[in-house]
Amino acid sequence: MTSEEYNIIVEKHADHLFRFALKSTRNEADARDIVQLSFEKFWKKHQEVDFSKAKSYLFTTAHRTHIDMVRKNKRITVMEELPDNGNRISANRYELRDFLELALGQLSDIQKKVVLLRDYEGYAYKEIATITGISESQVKVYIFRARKKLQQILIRMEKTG
Amino acid sequence: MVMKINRINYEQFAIDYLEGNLEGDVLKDMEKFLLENPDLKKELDEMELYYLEPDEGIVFPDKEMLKKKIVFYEPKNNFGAWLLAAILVGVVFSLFIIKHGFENEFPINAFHDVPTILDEEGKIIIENNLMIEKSNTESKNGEKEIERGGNQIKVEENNPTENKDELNRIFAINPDVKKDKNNPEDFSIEKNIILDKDVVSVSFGRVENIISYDIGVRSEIEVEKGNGIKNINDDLIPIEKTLVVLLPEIQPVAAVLSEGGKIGFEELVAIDVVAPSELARLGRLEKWGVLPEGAERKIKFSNLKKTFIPEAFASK
Repeated sequence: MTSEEYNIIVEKHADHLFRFALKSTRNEADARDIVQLSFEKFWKKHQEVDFSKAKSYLFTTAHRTHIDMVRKNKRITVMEELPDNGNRISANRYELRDFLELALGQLSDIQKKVVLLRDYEGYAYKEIATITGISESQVKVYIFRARKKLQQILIRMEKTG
Repeated sequence: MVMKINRINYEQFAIDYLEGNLEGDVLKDMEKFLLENPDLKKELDEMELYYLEPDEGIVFPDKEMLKKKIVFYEPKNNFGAWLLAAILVGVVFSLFIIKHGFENEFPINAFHDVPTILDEEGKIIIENNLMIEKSNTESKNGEKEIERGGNQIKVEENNPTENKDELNRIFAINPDVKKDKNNPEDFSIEKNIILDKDVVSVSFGRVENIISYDIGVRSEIEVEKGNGIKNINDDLIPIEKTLVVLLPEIQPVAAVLSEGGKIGFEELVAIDVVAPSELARLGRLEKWGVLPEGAERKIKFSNLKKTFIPEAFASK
């Protein structure tokens, strides 16, 4: 892959990778670091990675980089708190999309990632399995549980809202 | 063999079931399982699938920083890399020659001047490869047979000194600066000059990183094959001596000098200058990084009248 092709990859996928990283980490600085590191790793391998496989390579790298980052910093993943009754979500202020974004924060890391890869990037379950390094069956289980949880959270929000 | 669906493993089939992707025996098994487990059937029947939509408004702010500058030429294989070396190296040497002349001291660190010159020309970060094309001067014009690819072929040798005026006319010192219209910062210079019996071919271009400096001597020979005569200007004279010198910018690592380490310029057939990092990357450090036992750490360019010790080796 030439520098020119590499730059095309940057142009095409940097935003997608950033969204994935941002939604996964919920931290802009971390998300930037993940994108930066992923592309650095990608550049080191750019002569070996096929142009058509670049996107998968980047998402796989981003996923692993995030895991490494969490391990290194020994961070405890904290589920985001939903607004309590004193700070109720108003249906007037939030569209369904906003509810879903809030609900996303309640999912576990891996649930969040598989859903993001599926919904944001349109990856097949098998591809998600490759990127995340888990089995296709596990991916399906995580996605099923994530969707179930999203629905439960939305119902809860609706009741409290 | 189809896996039997039960209360433990049903989740891995559930999402495909809800999305309508189950078929055949698996679908039948799932439907049978749900009939036997009405609580789970109720759960799936009542389940609504919500899908997230990407927020296109979120963009990576430092995208431009991730991009790489496009080099004017990128080797894709060994031949390309060699070609790059052949095309690029010469500028350091010939610019030096143009600036200092042949009668002056010719220390290795004179190469220091080159980046400055290049910067003045166009903020060039150099990646130079110098190729010296040396015509065969060991014999007068004549024919001899050599072996190439298992075949004996007839080679006519030219002595360029007999055609010096003509060669000087062809390779007049007249740099041809070519600018890249698409990228004004990029340009290349191709220049050929006659240095006594040696033909120095020079070219350079703007590239991102210093990779290597190569000086190679090439034979200018005509090969007669069958009824036609084919010019082969790129045939490399077998390397007799090799000197590896790294410029101060990239820190010398070794000089490999054969036959006592003295190299007269007329005898010089090849110089490779390679960045240590690049050497390491190429796995060549071991090969190039050892000064042969007994080799003198002096380099004499006989044409230059003076002997010098490159700074890099003076302290050793």
